[in-house]
Amino acid sequence: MSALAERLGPLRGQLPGRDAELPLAAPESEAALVELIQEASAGGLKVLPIGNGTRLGGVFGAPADLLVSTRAISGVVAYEPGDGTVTALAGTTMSDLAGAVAAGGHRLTPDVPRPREATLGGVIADGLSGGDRLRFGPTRHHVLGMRVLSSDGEITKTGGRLVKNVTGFELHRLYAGSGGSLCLILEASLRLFAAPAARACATFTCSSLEAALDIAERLSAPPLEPTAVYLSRKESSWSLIATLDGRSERVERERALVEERTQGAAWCEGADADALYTTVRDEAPRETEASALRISVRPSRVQQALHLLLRHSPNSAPYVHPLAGTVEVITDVDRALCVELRALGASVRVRGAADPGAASAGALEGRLKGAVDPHGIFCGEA
Amino acid sequence: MRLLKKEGLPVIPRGAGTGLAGGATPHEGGVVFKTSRMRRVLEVNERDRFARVEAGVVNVDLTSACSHHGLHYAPDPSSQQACTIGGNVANNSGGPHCFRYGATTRSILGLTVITADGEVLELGGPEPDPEGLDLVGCFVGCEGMLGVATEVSCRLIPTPETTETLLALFPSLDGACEAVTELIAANLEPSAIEILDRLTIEAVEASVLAAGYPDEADAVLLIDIDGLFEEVHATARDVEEIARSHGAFDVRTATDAKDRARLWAGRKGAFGAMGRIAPDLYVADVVVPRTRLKEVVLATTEICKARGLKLSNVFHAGDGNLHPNISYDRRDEEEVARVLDAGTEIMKKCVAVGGSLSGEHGIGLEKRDEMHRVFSEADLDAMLRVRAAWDPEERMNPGKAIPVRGCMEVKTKPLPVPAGGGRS
Repeated sequence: MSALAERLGPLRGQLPGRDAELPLAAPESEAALVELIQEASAGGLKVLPIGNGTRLGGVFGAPADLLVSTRAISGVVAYEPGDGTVTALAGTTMSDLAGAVAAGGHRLTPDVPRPREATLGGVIADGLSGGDRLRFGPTRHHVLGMRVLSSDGEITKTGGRLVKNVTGFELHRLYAGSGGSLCLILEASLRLFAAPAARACATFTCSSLEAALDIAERLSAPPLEPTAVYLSRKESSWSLIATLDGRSERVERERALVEERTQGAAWCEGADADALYTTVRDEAPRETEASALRISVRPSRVQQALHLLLRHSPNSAPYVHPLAGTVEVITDVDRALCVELRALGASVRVRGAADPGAASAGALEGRLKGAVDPHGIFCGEA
Repeated sequence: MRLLKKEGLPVIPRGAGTGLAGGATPHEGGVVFKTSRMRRVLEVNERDRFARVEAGVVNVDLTSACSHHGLHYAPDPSSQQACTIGGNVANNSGGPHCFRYGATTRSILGLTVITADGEVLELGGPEPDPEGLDLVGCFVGCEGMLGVATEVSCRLIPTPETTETLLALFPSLDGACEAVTELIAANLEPSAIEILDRLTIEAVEASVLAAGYPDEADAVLLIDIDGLFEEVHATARDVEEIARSHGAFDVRTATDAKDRARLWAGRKGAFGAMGRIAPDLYVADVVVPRTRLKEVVLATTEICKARGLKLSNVFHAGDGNLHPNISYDRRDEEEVARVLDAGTEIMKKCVAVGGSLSGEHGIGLEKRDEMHRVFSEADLDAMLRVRAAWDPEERMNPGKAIPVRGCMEVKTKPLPVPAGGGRS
């Protein structure tokens, strides 16, 4: 470690659940990164791959010896608007990437909270989706291919830069959401969608959770297809914000449908709608020292999941995508709550605390870890 | 599966056998594990928009089972009247409407899988984002090399309020390709963009599937646009303008559902109709960046012309997924050699422009030994290591999709030949 420590320099990082600061390396080239990983493997060091370190709650107490960030390896590798795909290095921030593709009339999905901080590699490794998941699907669906670095210092690729491609196993699907437990993502290609020509947001202020979810249900019925629907608690009321976007003809018609089905919407359009959409997107809980839960459940069971949560933690302020079936909330992590949520069929990820009811990885997951990370150095959590 | 493990026999999963790359061919012997009799639709959940089906359910039967809920299953391979959901999962199958809705992998929420060891795994949903590694995403498209899917949870989507089908008539294939490239660059989002060339049109029109494709066009674009009335109408007008700017001399709109169904029946039956041209058909399946369509289509024409072969084109232009179809007679060995040579040259050209070996049919046996054109030894080894994690003895569909190299040779027991001969 000492020779390696000398090369690492003064950078230090703090992991949730760990008292001591850890050495942090942010190599500025792939060659340096490869060398570093090879040395870490040879020294038997546990490595936690990170981007800008904004989503470390999921690796609480990880047994890392070293944090390796890809933040300094950034930039758009290929963007051809006519192909509708973009390829970028892992350290590229989501806002830089969104800005690059906006020039060709594209929108970047996932539209994640605080995109100036989040890196492409970090978002994909974390499996983080934005509110636009409702319309466009989860992040992993848009990853077309990757280049990754394994623990033996080898760079391999999977998939490609094509919107349709069934050549070889889709290992990028395995790596997306693997949380730095299998490999280090160097580069990824994403499918793009058309930038919206118009946007409108409807805000509903409801006196009860049931009333808010009833409106959400009305917004989910075809042919309406909102881009995002957010639900959050504002002191004694609940706020539901629906974003409609796309061609202006579509937005106009969808707005009329919302007005037919609901009452009491406060509308904003254009730049005001963009600002509201961004504000609400960025209200997603930050992963700080506080413990948090990330819950994914069938949309029809969101209400039950929220009732369980509010019974356990009456004053909590969950941040909910009711139609996509996701809930994020800062709360004390309680074993009974996790058990009840999982009994409901919910997928629960504990952030910023130890998971009291986590199932141990199955035999297959163990074999996959051994296959992809033969030196067993990557200590992230899927 | 446990018995087969005990006997150390290779297992070759098979759905309806409609695959075109030899993925279900038991070329090394072993036991074919056929799921096509497992054909129950177990659940259609309208509220959460998913269906749970057995692997042998025929693709089109799934949509029939949920259409009265106003829902449908998006992936629609041309063989959807026969192919099974389990086969679609193994191949990550496509179809015309994958342009908007994605290939099979985007529509699969969960799977029940039996591994080579006889272990039954429940992977994924129907919950939308389960914890842990995305084993469903890893399994879809594995070509039967990781296990056998027996039950599938499929995402369903609402049937659109309206669908407009356009048929744009071009005096040249080039013009049609250029129009597609511009449609993509303009960020228009139809649900399907297909090209049929003159030889295909003639074959379809001479068959029982005659769709009313005009004989005065050298190529047609068949385009579906779906969504809300206002949006669809506006997009259709933009599409028409772009088509005309690239030489379309007529753009027709299907007048009703019957007319629309007729146009699509012609497209989906095109491969069968080509039996009128020659006894056999080589259906190539390659994919290229959508900015390179015209260049590659021209190259395939030249490759076939130089070898004296009869080429027709019908393909998913919106996805850059080409199907150069070469009509031939398998009794003519010399012609077969020329066809195979042309297929290899087409693949080389696609890879050279940043494309790949397969857009939707898979690698199977057909393209296994071409994988090195796209992947390095290290890339292929990474796939083999993942395969070994699922199937340590490498008995699942051995010898497919990944080239057999050096020490990686598959070692399985051959099937014993019964006394007096017989087939394995």
